[in-house]
Order: sequence, then C-alpha cells, then structure tokens
Amino acid sequence: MQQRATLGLAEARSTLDAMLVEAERRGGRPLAIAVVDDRGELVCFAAMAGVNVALARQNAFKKAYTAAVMRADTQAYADRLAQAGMKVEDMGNPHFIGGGGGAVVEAPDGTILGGLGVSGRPSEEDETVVQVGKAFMARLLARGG
Amino acid sequence: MYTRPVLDVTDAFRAVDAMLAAATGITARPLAIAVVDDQGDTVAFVRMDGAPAFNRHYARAKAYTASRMRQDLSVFAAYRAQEGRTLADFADQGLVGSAHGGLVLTDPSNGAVVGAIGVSGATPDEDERVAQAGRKALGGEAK
Repeated sequence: MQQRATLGLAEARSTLDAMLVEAERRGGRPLAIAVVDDRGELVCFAAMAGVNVALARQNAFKKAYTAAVMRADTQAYADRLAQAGMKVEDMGNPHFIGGGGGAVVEAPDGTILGGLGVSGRPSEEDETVVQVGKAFMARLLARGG
Repeated sequence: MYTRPVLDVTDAFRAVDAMLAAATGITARPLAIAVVDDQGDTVAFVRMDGAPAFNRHYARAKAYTASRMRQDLSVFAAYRAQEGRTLADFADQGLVGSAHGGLVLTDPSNGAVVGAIGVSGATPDEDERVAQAGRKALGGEAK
C-alpha cells in the first residue's frame, strides 16, 4: 500500500494564524482565509468579522482549491492558461478561479500537500498575505512540521 | 439604525481551541468543528487529521441549523417531535435533523444570538460534550 504525506491541522492552523497576523498588521478590509489539503478538502478556515459574504468566503476556498488541485499558485495558473489562449472558465470547473491570492503548498521533497487561499482585499493585497503564508508553511515543513 | 453583536474570528478560534483541548479527553476519533455567525456563515473551521470529508459538511450543517433556528439542536429536535413537525416544514434545505453537537451562541450580556457551534466525528453524546466545551469558553450558558 502507498502512504501519502498529507497536510495536518497543526501546520495548517499555524499558517492560518500567521496569515491572520499579517492581515491585521497590514490593515485593510476583512479577509477570508482557507487552507485545503491535496484533494482540495478544507482543513481550516477563518473569516474576519465583516468579511464580504458573497465574494470573499467563496473565493478564499476557490483559490486554495484551485492552487491545490492544479498544483500552481492561482496567478501563475491563470498566466499559463492565458499563454495558451485560454481562460480559467474554459476548464469547466465552477470551483476554479485565477488571479492573486491562491498559493500551492509543497513538502520539501516536492509532494503537493494542498493550497492556501486569501480573499477580501484587492488582488495584489490578497497575494501578499497568501505569499507570507506560503513562505511560513515552507519554513515550518522544512523544520519537519 | 441599530447595532448587532458580531462574532469575531478571535472569539471563534478561542471556542475552537477549547473544543480541540476538550476533545482529547472525550474521544479518540478525529472531529470536524465549525463556528458560524448569526446568519450561519462560517467564521472558523478546523478538521482534525484523518477526519472524513463527510464530517466537514455535517459539522457546518449542524452549526448552520443551530444558528438559523436560534436554538440548540437538542431543543429543536424536541420541538419537532412534540409538534409533529419535520425539517421540511421549515423551508430551509440547509437544516439537518441531528439532535446533538449543535449549540447556539449568545452574547452573555444581553442574550442576543451571535452564532453557533457544530461538532461532528464522534458519537452524538461526545459531539455534544465537545460543543459544550466550546460554548463554555465563550462564557455562554446553556439555552
């Protein structure tokens, strides 16, 4: 039987907290933040008070999901499709989303472990917060979880 | 204009952490835990290692139901039994019929409903006890 490394709550939660701290430090509109495993299944989630119900909650999950299952940051994924003359919508998966704010999580050996998604502020601000999370998670995993 | 109390993400995770701590003494099974606001939208969610995807949906559905109906699932279930009502009578497809593991959260100062907790993954009784630990952490009393 194969054994697959899987993102656990401990590292997911630490990373979520690091992103919440970064979001507070930078200030701005309230965010929703999602962490999913390699199957795109939610591991933990936070929505700051006052977050946009219709957009941010859904999009935080969609960004994390897209990054995890397409194995790429969402901005890079959208750019790659654009180079092929395609759009994210062309993929036929209603949970897919492109643009800033979604980052893939990889183990030090390259195993895809999941995705992070941040939504609620302008795309470049979501991207800044999610990249802080991605770097935090990478350091955590490099230390052995 | 009027004001309403809003569940903060910090409060929600205080409840989540209390539940995770309590869970170790209550069950060995991995749980999914959701804290939702007064509209039933998720504020905080965690899924313990190995908890099936089913439990994510169920934990959120329990919390949603307690929030929307503004009462603990045990109270809502007893009401339905007493009045001969079914879930379909309430015109909300997000409601679930479980009687355990879903507790409403109120503002201790005035009793206003601010959200709810949903726990799924262990036995009904164990889910309920874990959820109680979460509500206690927020200073809420049984309703």
